[in-house]
Amino acid sequence: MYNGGAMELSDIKAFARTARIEVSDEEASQLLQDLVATVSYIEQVAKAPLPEEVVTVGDRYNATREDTVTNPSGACTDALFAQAPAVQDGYLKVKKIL
Amino acid sequence: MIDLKNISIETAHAALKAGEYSVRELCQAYLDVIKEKNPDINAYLEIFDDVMTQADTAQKRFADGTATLLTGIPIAIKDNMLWKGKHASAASKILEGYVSTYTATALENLLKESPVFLGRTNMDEFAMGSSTQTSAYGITRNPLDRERVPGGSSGGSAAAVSMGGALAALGSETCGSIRQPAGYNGLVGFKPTYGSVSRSGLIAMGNSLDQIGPLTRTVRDTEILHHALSSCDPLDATTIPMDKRVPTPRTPTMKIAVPSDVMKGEGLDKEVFDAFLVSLDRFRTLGYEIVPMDFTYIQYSLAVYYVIMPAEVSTNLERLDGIRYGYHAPEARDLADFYSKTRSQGFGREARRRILLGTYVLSNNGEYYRRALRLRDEIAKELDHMFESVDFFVTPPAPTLPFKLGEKMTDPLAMYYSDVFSAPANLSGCPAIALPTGFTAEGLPTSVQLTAPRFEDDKLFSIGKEFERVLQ
Repeated sequence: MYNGGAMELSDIKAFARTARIEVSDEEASQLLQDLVATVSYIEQVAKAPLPEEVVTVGDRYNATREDTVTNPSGACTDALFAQAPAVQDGYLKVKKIL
Repeated sequence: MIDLKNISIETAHAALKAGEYSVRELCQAYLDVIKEKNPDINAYLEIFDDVMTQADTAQKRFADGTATLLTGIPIAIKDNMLWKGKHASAASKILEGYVSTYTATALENLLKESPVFLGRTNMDEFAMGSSTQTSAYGITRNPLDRERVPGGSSGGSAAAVSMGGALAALGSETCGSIRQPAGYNGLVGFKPTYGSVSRSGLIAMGNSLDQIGPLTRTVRDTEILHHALSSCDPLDATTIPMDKRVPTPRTPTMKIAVPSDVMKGEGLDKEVFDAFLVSLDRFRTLGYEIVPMDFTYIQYSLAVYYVIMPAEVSTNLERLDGIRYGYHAPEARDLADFYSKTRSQGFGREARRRILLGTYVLSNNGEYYRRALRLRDEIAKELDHMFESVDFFVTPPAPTLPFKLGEKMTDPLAMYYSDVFSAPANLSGCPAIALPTGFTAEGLPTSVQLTAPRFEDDKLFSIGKEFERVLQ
């Protein structure tokens, strides 16, 4: 189990990179403080006694629908493109990747 | 003059039917209140520009005899519910300018009856918060004491009703976001059995927990709205088919369970505890026996919630990247930089905090998350077991009275603790209702919360109505 108390600034930066959120050094320190406090609270989840795991289906059931076309191709394209910041030749335009 | 203080869906319906006033006049009465109070209270982020067109549509149904209970009823909707052609932002900058391309099923269900949706209400950003102070569009004040919070995250919806700016409102819950603000505004707030109301078109926070429910002045209004909202929806596979919504058979016991530590007032504001004891006496007056109980797992609910919710939050909010809709960073080097800048500038502090917490709990092979899921099952089982010997489970909806604006904002854990009594119902899928119980000497509203077994939503309405009667 991960130890929240041992969390460091470099961990916060790693989480932020994973979540694709830019954080300043100042915010990272604040986040570290907040997350350490929260994680020390949720540590009880790691420590709580649990009975031996028995995997059952319980009252769960599959939710399926008819295998039919509900949206004809292109029916919503224009409405969806209208929300996008940049569109070109029927594609969403994005920044260069490399 | 229409008496907006003592109005209900049924009395408004009767008056509209009898022609005592028109739908336009009813809507105008609310718009006048909104114009006077909203600039300071900020319950609404937007008043829809077609309120009177909606009113005319409703009026026609009174003329042609097809009007039903909700026809022409002015309702406020939370800013995380999609209505085609209207803005919806979940009070976040990252959805600034977003226009809904379809309508939430729950709203569609109401629209069949031609109500009037007055506008969209303020909330904590992406429903993350218990005080409506994390909105990107300013805080909402509590109409009953403007220096205090209205609760959250459906604080705008609660304030809209309590300031007299809507007959009823729709809110949504992931963990108490209807019940707690209802309690803070002297209103009825209801979280239905998970799977009874469609989440299609509700901007997701924690999919396995989210439900839409009403905030109203009376239990009957909540009952009417809930029955209209509820459906099995092919667009939300977690909605439960009507024929499967069958409660486990049980014999009524006339008993209500209360956690022993709550019975001793542990962790509660004194005023909250005092009011709670009075409420317990009222249930006794109704013939119920109050049974203190100790639990093995229920006390882990909030901690379990603060693992499951951020895990779902961090995955849900991944889709907001500025490419397809909403806010996008004006300057960026490349695609990766564009994502990071868009998300950093678009999400507020609490959203960023929870996304990172979710990223953390899902790391290490998701060990935390898996344990939380197992505990969640145990909590649900423990509640099930408890309901073999009692009819309801009672606590206050929140441990404190409405707190001061600005309070708890620098201490996330203190804010999270507001949800402590909400979590069991959301984790187990059980329905729960917050009922107003009166006011403290200071004039702040108090409330009591009842939880029932899954699919026994109607029993909460029955006991809620009985409770209202003894209160009067």
